Parts: sequence; C-alpha cells; structure tokens
Amino acid sequence: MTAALSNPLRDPRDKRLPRIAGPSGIVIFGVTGDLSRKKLMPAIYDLANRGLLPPGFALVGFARRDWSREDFSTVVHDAVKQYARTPFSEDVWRHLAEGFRFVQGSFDDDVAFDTLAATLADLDEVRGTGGNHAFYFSIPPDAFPVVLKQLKRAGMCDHSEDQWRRVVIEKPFGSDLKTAQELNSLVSDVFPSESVFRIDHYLGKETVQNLLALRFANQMYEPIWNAHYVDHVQITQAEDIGVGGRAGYYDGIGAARDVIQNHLLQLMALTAMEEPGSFDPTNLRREKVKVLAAVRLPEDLMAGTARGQYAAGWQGGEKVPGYLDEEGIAASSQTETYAAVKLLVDNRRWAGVPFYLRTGKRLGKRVSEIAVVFKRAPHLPFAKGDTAELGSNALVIRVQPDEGITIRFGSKVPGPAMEVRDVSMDFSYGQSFTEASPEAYERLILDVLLGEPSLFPQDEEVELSWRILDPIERAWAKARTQPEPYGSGSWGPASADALMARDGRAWRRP
Amino acid sequence: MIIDLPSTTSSKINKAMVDLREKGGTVTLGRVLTLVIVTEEGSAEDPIEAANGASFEHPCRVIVVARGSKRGAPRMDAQIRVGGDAGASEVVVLRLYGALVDHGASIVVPLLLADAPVVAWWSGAAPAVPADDPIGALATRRITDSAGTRRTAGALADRLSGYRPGDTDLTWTRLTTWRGLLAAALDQPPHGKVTSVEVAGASDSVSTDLLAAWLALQLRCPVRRIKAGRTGSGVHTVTLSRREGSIRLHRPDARTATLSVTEQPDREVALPRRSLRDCIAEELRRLEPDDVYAEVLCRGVALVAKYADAPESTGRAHSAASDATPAPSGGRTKAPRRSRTAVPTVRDAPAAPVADATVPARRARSPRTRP
Repeated sequence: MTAALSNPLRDPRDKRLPRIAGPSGIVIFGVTGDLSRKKLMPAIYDLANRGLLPPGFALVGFARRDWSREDFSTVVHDAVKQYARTPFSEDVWRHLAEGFRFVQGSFDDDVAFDTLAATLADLDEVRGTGGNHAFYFSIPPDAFPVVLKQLKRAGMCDHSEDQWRRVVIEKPFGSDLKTAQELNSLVSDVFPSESVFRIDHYLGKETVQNLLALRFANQMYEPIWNAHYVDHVQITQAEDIGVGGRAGYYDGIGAARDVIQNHLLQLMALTAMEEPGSFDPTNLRREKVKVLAAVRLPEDLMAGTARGQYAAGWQGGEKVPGYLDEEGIAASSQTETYAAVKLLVDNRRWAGVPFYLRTGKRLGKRVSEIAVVFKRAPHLPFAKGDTAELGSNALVIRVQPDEGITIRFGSKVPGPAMEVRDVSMDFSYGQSFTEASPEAYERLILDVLLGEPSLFPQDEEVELSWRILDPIERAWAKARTQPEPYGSGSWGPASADALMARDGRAWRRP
Repeated sequence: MIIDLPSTTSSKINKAMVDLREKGGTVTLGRVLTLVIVTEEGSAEDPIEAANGASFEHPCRVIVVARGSKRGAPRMDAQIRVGGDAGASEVVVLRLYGALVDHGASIVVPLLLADAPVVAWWSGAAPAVPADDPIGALATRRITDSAGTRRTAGALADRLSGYRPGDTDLTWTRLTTWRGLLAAALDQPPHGKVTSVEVAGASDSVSTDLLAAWLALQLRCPVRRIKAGRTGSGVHTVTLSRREGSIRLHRPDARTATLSVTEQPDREVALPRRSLRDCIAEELRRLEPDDVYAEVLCRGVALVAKYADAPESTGRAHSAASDATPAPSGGRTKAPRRSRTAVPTVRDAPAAPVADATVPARRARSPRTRP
C-alpha cells in the first residue's frame, strides 16, 4: 500500500493501470494433485498471459514423485493446454517455464527442504524473485505441522523488511473449533497472521463480488433487504458428482464441514451483513464478523437441520453407486453427503428471517445460488382464483454456473381473464461474461502475490463459523443415526423437505 | 446467423431484430452498451472481429457504419449477425452509399439500445473533432486510432486540437502493458526519485510519444524521446535513471521484453503488441472520460517537447516541469524531434484550441509549416 502511495506512476485516476505483482515466486506443495493441475497451474499461466505476473516469476513444485525439471515442465504444459482459459502463447509459456523448478522429496525429508531453500535462494539470484515467496499448501491438513516445521527449520519463513513470505492454505480450516484454533496457532507460530491466506475460492468469483455491488451500489434493493420484506433466504450449493477420488478426505468430514462451514457461511455473511464503511479488508471483515456473531441456531437442532447420504440410482442417464458403495468408504459410514441447516440472525435487520443453507453431492444438477425470497403482497386485489399460480417474489443470485441474477415476479397471463402467474427476468452476467471473466483462482493467486487480503477469510471468521457448526455436528454425532438415504439425482432427503414444510415453506428448485 | 436486408431502413432493421429475438427465443436483453464502429466499406471486418471478441467481456450491440461511395443514389444495405457469427453481441452492419454516407447518425439513432451508453469508434481516419461529429455527439466515449491513420506525424496534434472529455485513442490503450510494468517496477524499493528518463521507439510510433509524455508528467523530470528501430516497430526501450541505479525495460523484437534493474538479475517477460480485441475490451471497461490521457495529451506532450528544446539546460526545463503548467513559449517553437519525411502538405492550423492546449498546438504546428 505504501509502495503504491509513494509511486509517482500510480495515479488513483488511472484505472487502466493494472496491478502487476512484484518480483516473486510461488512454491506449491502437493503439486501432483488434482487441484494443482486443474486450477493452480492454469491460473498461473492465465495470469502470465494477461501480463499480471512479474518478469522473472518462479514456480517451484514440491512432491514425492521422482521428476526432473523437464518432467515437471511437461506436466504443467499439459495442464495449461488442457485447462487454461486464455489462448496458448508460445512466448508467454517459454518465459514462464524458465522459472520452473522441481524439488523432489517427502515432507519429513530434511535434505529435500534444504534443497528447496537453496532453490529459492538460487531463484532470487538468477530470476530476481527478490526473496518474495508464497508457499501454497495443496496438501492434506495433517501434513501441515510437519511442512511448517520444515519451513521454519530450513529458515524459509524468515522475512525481512523488503521481502515477504506468505502461506496459502486451502480448506478445511480444521474440523471443528478446537482443531481450527490449533491450526491457527500452529500456522501463526511460523507466519504472522497477515501472511496467512486462506483460500475460499467462492470469494474469488465475480458474482460473489458482484453481490456487494448489487447490494451497495443500487438504491432499489436496499430498502427491501430486511425482515419487513424478506420472508426467508435459501443458499444452495449442489454438486452432481459423487465423492469420487476424495473419499479419503471426505469420509468423516461430511458435507457440512466441507461446504457449509466455509462457502455457505461466507455467502450468508455477504448477503446479510450491513454496509461496510468502505471495502477495505478490515471494514469488510468487521461487518462479516458482526453478522456471523449474530447467528443463532434453532432451539431443536435435530428439527432445524437435515442430513442425508446418497444412495445408488440413475443420474442424468448414468447409473451411479451409492455413497456406501464408493471405493474407500466403509459400509457403515455415517458421514453425510447432504446437509441442510436453518439459521437465524439476531439483529434488527433480520429478526425472524430464517436462512436455509443446504449442500449436497449427487443432487439434481450442479448449481450454487443465493435466493432471497420475499413475502407475499399483504393484500391482493384480485379474485381468489386469479392468483392461485402466483408464488413469492424472489431475487436469485446465481453463483455458478451461468452466473447472473434472476428476479421472479407475477405477471398477467395474456387473455381475457385476469390471471397472474410467476415469470422470471434474467440478467445473464453469465453466458456471455464467464468466458472472459477471470477464474476465481487467478484473482486469488494474484491477490496473494500482491498481499491484498480482502477476499480471504481470517482467523476470526473461521472460528466463528465453527462456533455455528460445532453444536450441529455434536447433535448429529450424539444421535448416532445413519443419515437418511436419498436417491442420486434427486434434491435431497425427505427430512430436508420436512424441515421446510414445518415452517410452511418449500425449497426452490434451482 | 446472418440476415441480409438490401436497400432497407432503420425501422425495418429494428423490426427484423425484434423478430429474431422472438423466434430465437432469446428473451434476455443483457447488453450493456452500444458500440458504433465507423469505417470505410471494405475494411469493416477487422474491427467487427475485435468487437465480437470484446463482447465476451462486454455484451453489446455493435452497429457498423461502413461508408461506401458517395456517388450514385442514396441507399443502405444492412446485414444483421447474431449467434455464432457475432460473439456475444449482435452486429448490424450498415453499408451506406450516395448522399446517405454523410447521414450515418440518422440511421444509427433508432438502433441504439435504450438507456445504455454509446461508444463510437473510428477504426480508420477520424473526424477533426470527434465530439462534434454527428455520430460522435451520440457517444459518451469516442475512440480513435492514431496509428490507423496514414500519416501519424501530425496525429497527436490533431488529437490534441480536437480533444473533448470522453475522447480516447488506441495508441494510448496499447501502452497499458508497458505502463503497468514500469509502475510495477517502481512499486519495488528503493523508492528513490527518478531523475531522468529516456524513451526510445520507432519514429512513427505515436504510442512512444505518449509514453514519454506520461512519464514526463508523472515523474516530473527530464524525459528524452529517442528515435530507434524501423518504422512500425513501436516502443523499444524505456530507461528510468535514479540515484540508486537505473531501471531499463527493453523490447527489441516486439515480443519479449527484458527488465534490467541495477544490481538485480535481468528478467524476461513476454510483452507482445496488444491485439485490437484486447484494446477494445479495455476501452469498453471504463466509460467515463480518461483524465490521465487528457493530461498526457494536453500537457505531457508539451513537456517532452520542452525538454527536446533545451537539451543543455535540463535544470531549467525541470523546474518548468515542476510548475506543471506549460509556460507560454513565445518564439521558442522549434522542436524538430521527428523527421518529417511525410508529404509536406501545409495543413490548416488546428482551429480553436481547447483549454490549455495552446502551447502544444503551436508547437505541433510549427515544424510542419517550416520547410
């Protein structure tokens, strides 16, 4: 920030000028994994192609596999060709690839980490990365302690005034409040908290950022964005795929910890929070924390939540196995693959407005959305039958796919009779926009390199989220029941519908 | 899908577009702006392609006014392109003939999207004062391309004399990557003051002139514009000198740049010339007047000329630069920093210079009127 102020070439009015990261490099632990190949490598290439990476950028892979630098380069090349968003340019690739290094070793191997330290020092020398390095932990959380210890031992986390070292961690940020706090203290032993970047890729999505614009740049939504007009809010994240290759990680964690704790609670915080004083990270975080701290759980946790497990079935024309038949899953597993919770927010704006959060695997289709459902008009001056088909007005923010906004409202059916029926109006930020809009990971990786923390949840938000989820998880664990099975390709278990029915509501079909 | 409407009118085009929407089932009107491209008949396809590409970021309606021969009866042929043939936009190509050539605006008005901003883009030669042009007057943002004109030598002076807020030029857009890299280089310590600057580029590169002007304006230190490389090769080298050493960004081949900073290893980065599509996408991103461009054009260019005038006494020029107002330069108008190999036509002096453009207009005019 201070650099930007003292830089005479940065004029606040000059909005064309891109923020290009300073000299730096990134080290990926677990570079052979899916995330790394499908998201990180393409995102790094796309950033380079857009000219947002510094000249002399370095990418260091660290993994157990016995690869040479060329092997690594080939892997990245294939990943980029297959998954990158922007067209492939030989020039961009050549310069980027010159900065590739690969260090082979396991996490308990002192020699490997010494090699890594030497590699970074060499990069500072040859590529001019200037001692600025980000460590991306694309590894299971149980490997964090040993890697952090190694980084510390090899002196890779010491940074001086003019250099930075940052660490990037992926979810899960612990598995409950206690482990989250342990993880936080473990990481903060080695890296100061402003150097820790927790990736929640939802927050890097354009639509999620657009939610702030929608709410705070417009006059017409804010007056109705409260308990006077809003009946309830549904936040949905549905996947059509099963647990797939993530069985080892997923079993024992479950849908609530995997998705509700981070993505959905973050979306809820952004939907429900008050207007921040400004969009700087501290102010934004303060408002999110306020609303998360105001969340109240339903009295009867079992009645206010639902969980399910997908059973075998047909989905989209394909026969798919049930969760318990998946490879690597115990036949007696009580891990839920569907979770729905009802939350209340105790503040003036939202008193009495329930927020329903649901997520699941093998549901009808892949979709994420926030639906703000409004109350019905207090009086309908129509004959009784005329409005039978009329539902509630709704404003739906479609996060993925087909990003955009839908408004549902009543309209007269053409013809002699006065008959009112629901229609929807689409703003398709989506279909045309997505192609050219940056991937979430591009934005987030660039923000890490720039040291721009607004889109990353901090300790306090993570801990508050666990405070919300922990009692629910405890209630589920205490019940010791098998999650209710639901057919693959359906919209979840019957108990989830019952949860809504008890409140006289129903889930939207996204 | 492409639909041809020979010898048609605006209302017929509008009707055809509504029909298309109803038949095609696309009920959404997610277009964010109307882009009017003014071009000569026969050179419309490149700009259309660029606009289609940019439409993936900015869904828009593109209206192409292709000016044909002025001879013969007035006539308009239209073509509507939607779907795969138009990116994420809808394109209406209007080919005008006869007297109609000069009345493009009357056809464009009924085709503009309701309530959406209008951007005008002259892909070739631009009117002297774009804002006063009938089509330019409809637009909030007017894009010209000085590099697209046949004679680049007087291009900047023309842009300056015709400047109104909302004007922008693609020669400025093409610089964004250069400017970004230079700004990023200065983000890094040591944050010492830049004491002098050299900007080298092809003699016909308007972008190089603008880059020098920008640096002179922002860094407030002597800036020299040096001619280097063959014509058409764009910007070559920028050297920023500081007490702590220099920063040099060098692109010899229009593809790869090397960033050399004193006491640091050389770093290479791909720095290709920007495609038209990228430039247009960037232009459409912001629709308010570009104040920085305005200042660079109205004041920066004059500053560079002043430094060129006073090669021996940089100190004086420097203090003048710090005042940040181009002092009336009286008779000191000799600034031959470009070779004038272009056709020696004596062009009209820019009429009625805009606010604080007096000096550069004089300066730009004088070398050309001299043999």
